[in-house]
Amino acid sequence: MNEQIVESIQKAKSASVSENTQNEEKFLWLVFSICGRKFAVESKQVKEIIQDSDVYPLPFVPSYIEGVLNRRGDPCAVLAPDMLLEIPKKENEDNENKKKRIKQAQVFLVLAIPDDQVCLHIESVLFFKEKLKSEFNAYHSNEDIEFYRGVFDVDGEEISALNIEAFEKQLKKDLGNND
Amino acid sequence: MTETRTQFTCVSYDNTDFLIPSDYVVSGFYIDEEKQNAKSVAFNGQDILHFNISKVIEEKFNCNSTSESCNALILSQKDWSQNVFPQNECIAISFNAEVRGIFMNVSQFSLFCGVMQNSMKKNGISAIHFENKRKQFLIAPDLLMRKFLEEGLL
Repeated sequence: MNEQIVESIQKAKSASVSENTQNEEKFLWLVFSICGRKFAVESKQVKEIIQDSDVYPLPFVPSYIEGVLNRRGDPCAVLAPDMLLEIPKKENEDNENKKKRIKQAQVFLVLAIPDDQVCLHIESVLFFKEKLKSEFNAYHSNEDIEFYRGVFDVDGEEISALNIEAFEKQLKKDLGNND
Repeated sequence: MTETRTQFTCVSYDNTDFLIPSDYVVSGFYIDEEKQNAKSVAFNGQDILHFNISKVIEEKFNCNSTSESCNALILSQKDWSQNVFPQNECIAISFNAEVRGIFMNVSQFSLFCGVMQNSMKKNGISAIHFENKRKQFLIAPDLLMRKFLEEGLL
């Protein structure tokens, strides 16, 4: 009795779950490393990955701005995310070695910020990972500038997703364009 | 349509050139070593306020001087956007670097990106041009000098 009905209900539920999963928003994350730690940004927020470009220092800018690089003739501001994220140095690594290591790692993520040219100086690009929205644990912060957007899990490892808008906000705040 | 080439006075360090529109430059001359750090230099029978900004330039722009000799530029203040030294018609700034005149199309320069543009401009760095491994800054000496003074660098 009712077996047919129960089966129909189960089928309907399972179809509904599958449909929900199919319709659920997905994020494509670009996972990279800074100082040996993994971070991610949404891939659509990255315009370009540049390797082995010289960075030209600039005066009168905050210390987390390393300078500019030559992006097809246009200056692109290079940010040192480790300084803003306050990433602790690796064990037994002094500041001088940290500077050297960061200098050796010449990989830059050009951010998709409208009408601007800003990139993050990272260690290396690791992989791309697609995740469902439900698999992403978003942070809700009351901070004015929050560099972390949330976390997701890859093979048991928690990866922090960065909030690109926060880098733009910080620049505006420090360079006096906070309009 | 052919673009007009503009004349600049180019101050060359090992990896960086500083370009000043030549309209602002009244004259240029060599300064003896012992007078490099003098507070004034004689020009046209007048004592003109003088700053040797080479060390500050090297420190702030991460470059090294190419010359031990010192070249001074007399800059007219009449076209300056902000008169930093109101009592003086001209001031002299000097560099331990080679100075020459060059012509360039202004379209070769690039402005800084959105967020940085105002800040760089306000501090006297108007634009940049990348030339192989060198960079060339178009500078506004009035604003740059004001920034150096504000920061207590001179």
